[in-house]
Amino acid sequence: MQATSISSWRIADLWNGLSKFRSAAEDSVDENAEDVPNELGELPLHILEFSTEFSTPVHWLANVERRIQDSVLPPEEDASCEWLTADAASTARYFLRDTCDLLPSEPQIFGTLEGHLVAEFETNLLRMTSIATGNGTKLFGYRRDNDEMPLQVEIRRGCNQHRDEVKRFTQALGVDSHGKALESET
Amino acid sequence: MAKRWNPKPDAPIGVQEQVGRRIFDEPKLRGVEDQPELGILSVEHFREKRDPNVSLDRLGRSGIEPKVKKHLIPRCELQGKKFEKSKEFEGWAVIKVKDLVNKWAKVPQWEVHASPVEKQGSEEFSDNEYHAHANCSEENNDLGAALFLRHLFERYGQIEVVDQEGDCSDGRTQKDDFFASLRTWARRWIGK
Repeated sequence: MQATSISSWRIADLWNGLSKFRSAAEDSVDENAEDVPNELGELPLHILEFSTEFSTPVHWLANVERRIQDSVLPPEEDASCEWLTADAASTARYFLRDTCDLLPSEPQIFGTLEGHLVAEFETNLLRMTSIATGNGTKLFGYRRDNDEMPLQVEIRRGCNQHRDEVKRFTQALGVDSHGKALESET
Repeated sequence: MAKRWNPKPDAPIGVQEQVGRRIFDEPKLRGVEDQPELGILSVEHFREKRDPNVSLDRLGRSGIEPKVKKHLIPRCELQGKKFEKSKEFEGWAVIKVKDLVNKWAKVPQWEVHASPVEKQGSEEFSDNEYHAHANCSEENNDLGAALFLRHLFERYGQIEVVDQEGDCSDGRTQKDDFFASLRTWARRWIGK
């Protein structure tokens, strides 16, 4: 696994999550329950190895998060390209925290009329665009050194393979697991 | 003096024609004052929120025709004034029709057809005989269509910048063009 460092916000999330899980498990024990017959051996089970991978913080993340935070729509303002909705800002923050080390550059961010967040990642080899709405993130990207059709994918909010989806997308664009855009082999 | 090109509204659009998407200044996000500028065209320029047809201007038969451009600039400026918050017209993202349609064998497929706009009552500059529509047959989502469209314009097209006084991108102004025409006319007159 390439990226295994855990940032402080993740430790806090993990701790909260573990505490909730532990108290829920204690509440749900029924002392009078009979033993459940073990029929698992008869089922065709396949066990997949599950690996948890955390992103490595990158130098630009704090600045971009601050820009997002400073652009959240105040209650007294109307939606416009100048402001982000709280939902879009939250989706974008989650996207960036979870995948920042896979992304090819510091993003330039824009707003849409509806308050969605558009993040543009630009290198001399490729362009990648992500659009964060309240429902998820749309990714669009292409390489400059070929004439092929751009790639696009939509990742729904709450998808449990969010990081893997982004990794597959960036790798298809020729970005390595440290966010470095690689020269094309051809 | 050659006349300005008058496209026939019912004739198909030529694949060598140059079509342009109008670019207006869009406000930035409030929190991005310290953001490094990458010179990327906002995807908002390519969105058509109320209509699946994307509005374009036909700017010339094979290259951008200065007379057509000059004719269109006041119409574009008028459109800028009609937004809820007035916007400044900055120019066009321009592409050849053949680079816009059927770029890839797969989706999305774009079609371009002429759709001239007639004058609205007595309002000056409300007509546009160079108006065209681009239609994407496969993409229903306007953001998705806008991403593809911006990609095509940025990758295979060019930017035609116009400043407030109607300057052309090569630095000549409408006034310069007027004096150049006058000089040409004078030379011809003297040569007679």
